[in-house]
Amino acid sequence: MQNQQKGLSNFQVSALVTLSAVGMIIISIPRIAAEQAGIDGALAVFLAGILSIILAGVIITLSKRFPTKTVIEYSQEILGKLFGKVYGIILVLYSITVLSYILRGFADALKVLLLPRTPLEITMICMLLVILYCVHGGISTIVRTCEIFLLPLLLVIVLTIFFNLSEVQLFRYRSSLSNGITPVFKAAFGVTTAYLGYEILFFILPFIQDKEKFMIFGIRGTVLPVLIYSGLVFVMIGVLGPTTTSELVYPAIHLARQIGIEFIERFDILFIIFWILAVFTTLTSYLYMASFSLTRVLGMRNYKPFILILLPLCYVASILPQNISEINMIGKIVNYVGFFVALSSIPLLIIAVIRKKGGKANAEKE
Amino acid sequence: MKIIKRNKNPKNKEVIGERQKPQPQSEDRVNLDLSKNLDENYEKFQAFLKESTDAVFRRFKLGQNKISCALIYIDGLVEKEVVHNSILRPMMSNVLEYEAMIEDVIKPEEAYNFIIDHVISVAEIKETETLDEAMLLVLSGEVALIIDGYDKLIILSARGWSTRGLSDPQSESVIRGAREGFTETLRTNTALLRRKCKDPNMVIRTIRLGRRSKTDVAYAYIKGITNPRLIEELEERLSKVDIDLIASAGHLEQLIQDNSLTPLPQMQVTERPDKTIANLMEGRIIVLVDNSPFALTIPTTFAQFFQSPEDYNERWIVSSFIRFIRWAASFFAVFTPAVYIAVVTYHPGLIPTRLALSIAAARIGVPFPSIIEAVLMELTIELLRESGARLPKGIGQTIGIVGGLVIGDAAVNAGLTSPIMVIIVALTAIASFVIPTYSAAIGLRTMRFPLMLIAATLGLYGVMLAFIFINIHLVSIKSFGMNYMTPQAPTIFNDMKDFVIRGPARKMKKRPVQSYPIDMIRMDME
Repeated sequence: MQNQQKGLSNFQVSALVTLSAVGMIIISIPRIAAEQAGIDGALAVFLAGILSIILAGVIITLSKRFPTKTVIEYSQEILGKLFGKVYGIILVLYSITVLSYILRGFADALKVLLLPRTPLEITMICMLLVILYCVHGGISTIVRTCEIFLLPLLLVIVLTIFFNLSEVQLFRYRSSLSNGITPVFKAAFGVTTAYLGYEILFFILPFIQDKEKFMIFGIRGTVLPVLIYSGLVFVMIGVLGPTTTSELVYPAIHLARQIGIEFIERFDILFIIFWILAVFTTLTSYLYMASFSLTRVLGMRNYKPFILILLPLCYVASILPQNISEINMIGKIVNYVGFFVALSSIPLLIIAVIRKKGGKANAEKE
Repeated sequence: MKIIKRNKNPKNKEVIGERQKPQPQSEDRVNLDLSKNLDENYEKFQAFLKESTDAVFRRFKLGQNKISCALIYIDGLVEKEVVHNSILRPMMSNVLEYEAMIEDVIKPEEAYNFIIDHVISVAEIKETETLDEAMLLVLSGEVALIIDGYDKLIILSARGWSTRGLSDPQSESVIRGAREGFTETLRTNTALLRRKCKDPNMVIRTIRLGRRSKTDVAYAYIKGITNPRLIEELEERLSKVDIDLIASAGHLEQLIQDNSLTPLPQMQVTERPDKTIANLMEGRIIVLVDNSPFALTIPTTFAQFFQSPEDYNERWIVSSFIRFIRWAASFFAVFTPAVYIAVVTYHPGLIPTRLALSIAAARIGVPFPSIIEAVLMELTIELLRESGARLPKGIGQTIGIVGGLVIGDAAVNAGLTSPIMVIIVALTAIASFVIPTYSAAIGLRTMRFPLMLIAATLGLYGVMLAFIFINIHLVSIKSFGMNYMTPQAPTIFNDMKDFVIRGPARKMKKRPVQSYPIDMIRMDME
């Protein structure tokens, strides 16, 4: 049909990437940052963000060499069939792990913050069912839900930052960079987990309408989380100081609690409610990645039956950890594995260039 | 999976198809071809219609040659004046006078053309050579004229039956806007459309649907604006309709809609011609069903349910405010009771302390948990609404007063419910009536009850999950393959001008993109 939209629009791409990255971690990122970098937490988060933007750029460049393929297909082309499949399976396992980690973290936080007497299982199963419904609708349903949720979510986060801006005590930042820049860089690698979710960039190019502008809008989608997280951590450490921040389990909630509006006694509950949106979109894109990769690794087209196979798996995986230290350990693993998954785009790109796979010339040949 | 597929075996389908094939309606098998003999044709009509008392058979002779003729029509569907003065009188007496004047007689072989050319003074006539077409036309209110010696019939249009006059649209009244609504007669409705748009490109096509009812279904679109693919899609869906009776527009809507697992309508149903014509200009198709005063708009967006013609008659700032109120109202109508239950049961900390205390104080005497209280009150108000809608106007007011007293004051005094709950229920009820489209409003209202249950079990987390669920549902609905939630998802910034905000009239230069019109430019002025 004339000028009918045939794929994801540019705005949808940005919304999807942003909401995949902004997720469960938003309530605890100030703590992680303060633990890793002390007073320079915001800077570390910002540097990690820059790193994630660069990696997103590499992923996009790589994807653009294969405009009609997702990572599962072109990794097989680049690495050969066997290693490509292994890479695909790693992606599947990784997605499931992240999904379960986020789900568990989410359910734990919800138990502490909102529903102290509701069993974990119930909150998790309910969430999984809603995700199932969304992913079952396909990528177009996922991106459209993201589009709708982008604005309210941003509004609440920006309000939280904005209302607390006047409370920031700038004198705390006098001791910034007292240990030099190196520890900050080191800390930055510890907080890359915050931005995880932009791996969705590996998968979406074949569905995008305007493939030329993928770079601009993909990057735009990754810039927004950087601003949100850095702003949040900056305000948080400015208000409470690095020591207090690192001792709070969910510091962002405390930040929201500072806000008192006449008719809402506790702004933090509102924050938690909208944070559910962020968690939901992240989980959705990971479930999509997992089921999509698994399907394509097995050489099939319809991924919808695989969602049903993966869901119980994710549930079991998220119910397995016994205590918070186990969960934190998984968190650390996820942090590094996720970083390496994103980083794997660099060797893939190099090999692709060396082996002359993909690119404009090849695309025309096909 | 395989078992299900086997059931879908085409062989089974054939069996069902055979069983459903139309059976001959009369017990005597009748050869449906027309013959040259009047008596034979006459008897064929009689075989079908003799048992019906409203069928009129009238035999007479034409001219001095006494050519046998017969009129067949259905009493009540034709205008008697026309039959008497323009058909029977000229044929029976004027022909004789004419013959006397020219001193000649009309020969049987030229009678047919002579009658058409000189005798009958009816504007619209048709010829038909088959019995079933003639039968259908007679049953739709035409008069069939059989002339001896011809194997074709003359069909004379003398339709006229009692109809309702144009009246104020009952379900969509406006303050500033036209006062006329569609009626039950298809012709009147198409005329209403024509009067509003004299563009020769506005096409109104008619097809007959319903195996037995043979209901006229008209669809209108504007050539050059409406996307041809959309028209094809509609025609294809209409052609698949195979049912005995098309009862109304709402019935047809459910036969051709995309998704039946939803409380929300996927076509806009309106009885306002002004709304209809505006939709036509946006590249949409209008479907009118005979005997139904409602028009279907295809495709439609969710946002359209919040638009009313009077928005465009007021200044844009005012209309935008009203639009915003409507959107907020829809949100209240769905979520208020659920949020109330969740907050009172799980998160009393969310509300300011004083209010929380007064709520708790008001609830002291109430024996039920808030969910029971809420469901009870919401059900009561639905009962009141339903009984008020069914009763005649005079009694309806009584019900309103009684209901108002019962759920307002008496229920609180009796300790069945708290005053806050009454406010919540009243707010939801009023809010749901703000939405201009009835079918959308009632769809949204239905969602309230499952939401209350979720709120009672999972608190605000459940409400949020339900909110997410509703949103996923909304974005996955299609209206004739078009996106239901435009311009929000997919986001179309240009169409945001006519969304929650109704932009200034001079700024709305393009048609909305949802139905993919061929011609996007609506306005060419500064």
